[in-house]
Amino acid sequence: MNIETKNKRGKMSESIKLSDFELDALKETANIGTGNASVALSALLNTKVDLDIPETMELSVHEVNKHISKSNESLVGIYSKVKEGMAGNILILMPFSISFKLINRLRKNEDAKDRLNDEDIVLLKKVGSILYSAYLTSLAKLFEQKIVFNPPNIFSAIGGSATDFILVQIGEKEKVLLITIHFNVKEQNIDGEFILLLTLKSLAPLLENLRKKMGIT
Amino acid sequence: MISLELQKEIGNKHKTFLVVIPSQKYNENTNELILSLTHNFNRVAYVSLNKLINPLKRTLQEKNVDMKKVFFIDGITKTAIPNPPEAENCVFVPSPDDLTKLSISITKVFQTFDPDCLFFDSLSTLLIYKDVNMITQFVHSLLSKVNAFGTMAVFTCLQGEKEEHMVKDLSLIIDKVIEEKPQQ
Repeated sequence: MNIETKNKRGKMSESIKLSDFELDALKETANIGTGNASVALSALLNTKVDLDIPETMELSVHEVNKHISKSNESLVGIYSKVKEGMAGNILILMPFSISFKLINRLRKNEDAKDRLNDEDIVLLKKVGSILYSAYLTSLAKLFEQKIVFNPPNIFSAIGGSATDFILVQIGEKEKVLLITIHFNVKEQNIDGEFILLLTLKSLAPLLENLRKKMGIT
Repeated sequence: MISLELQKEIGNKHKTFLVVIPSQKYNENTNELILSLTHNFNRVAYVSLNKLINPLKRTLQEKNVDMKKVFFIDGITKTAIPNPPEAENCVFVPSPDDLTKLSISITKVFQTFDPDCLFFDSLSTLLIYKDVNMITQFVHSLLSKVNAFGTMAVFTCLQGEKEEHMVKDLSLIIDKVIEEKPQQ
């Protein structure tokens, strides 16, 4: 992991790195958010969901590509833009074959499925909405900040173009925080990536709130 | 690198092709294909169902594709950005599975841009949403337009078990199917 840290607090600009405290706090929030999303997914699927420890990286935009899965398979993405409280994108990424398994599991459908119809797309959007709510609500509580995201959209991508979606409407010179979490439902062979990308600039007021809350000046 | 067979065929204006690409070579081959097409033709209509318009344009520019020769029919960007800013030489379709709007947009581009070549990337994306029969019908209707406008057409799809049935059916209506070899 390529993380540079400096013990600078307060104003954050594109050129200032996160301090150790800030990065640790963000890792912890990622853990909490992930835990909540995992509980929500477990409840949806009615089975245990395993999660890897989140990887949290402070990067420049052009480095993001290196850290996102480059599956050669066709992928389905559930994508949403975080529009209030912080700026960034949130994405669940999985191979198409896995999305069909997920849908079958949710519908309790035994039949093999190999296409997404309109109802499936609505269902995947709902899954995205539930998981993003679970994740971002925990962040909102911790940071004491309202966080709002756009309704999720579904996209398909081949050959690494999924990375472009996580970078939608993010400035080329932005510094970003990339959080990736691999999830796995062993019983159903369902696995995928939960990816959150936030601009450091937008995190500054949230970290300020956190510092105040913890009595750190 | 795209195969010599494909390179030879690209200059043939009166043909329709389906290029079956191994997934590992997918990005590399589609970029090379569009570069070759813009070398051989003056106006290429590029149907993109996989790549967002801005990163796609950036990549093609980096590959030295003459962007003045390309008009994009973009069926993917609106799934990420519902109201994308207007882009030069580009028309947006709401989603890759909206075949009616896709077809209407392609017709409009044929009428206004008058392309020498249609590049369709890719049929594998349609296969995610539609069955093989529907895709075959759609391609058949596109080929009628392609013939009517005297345009060459290149369709792409991934090499895979899921695509086998589609490739077999389309081989009956497309002039030539070219299977690119997987990476050694």
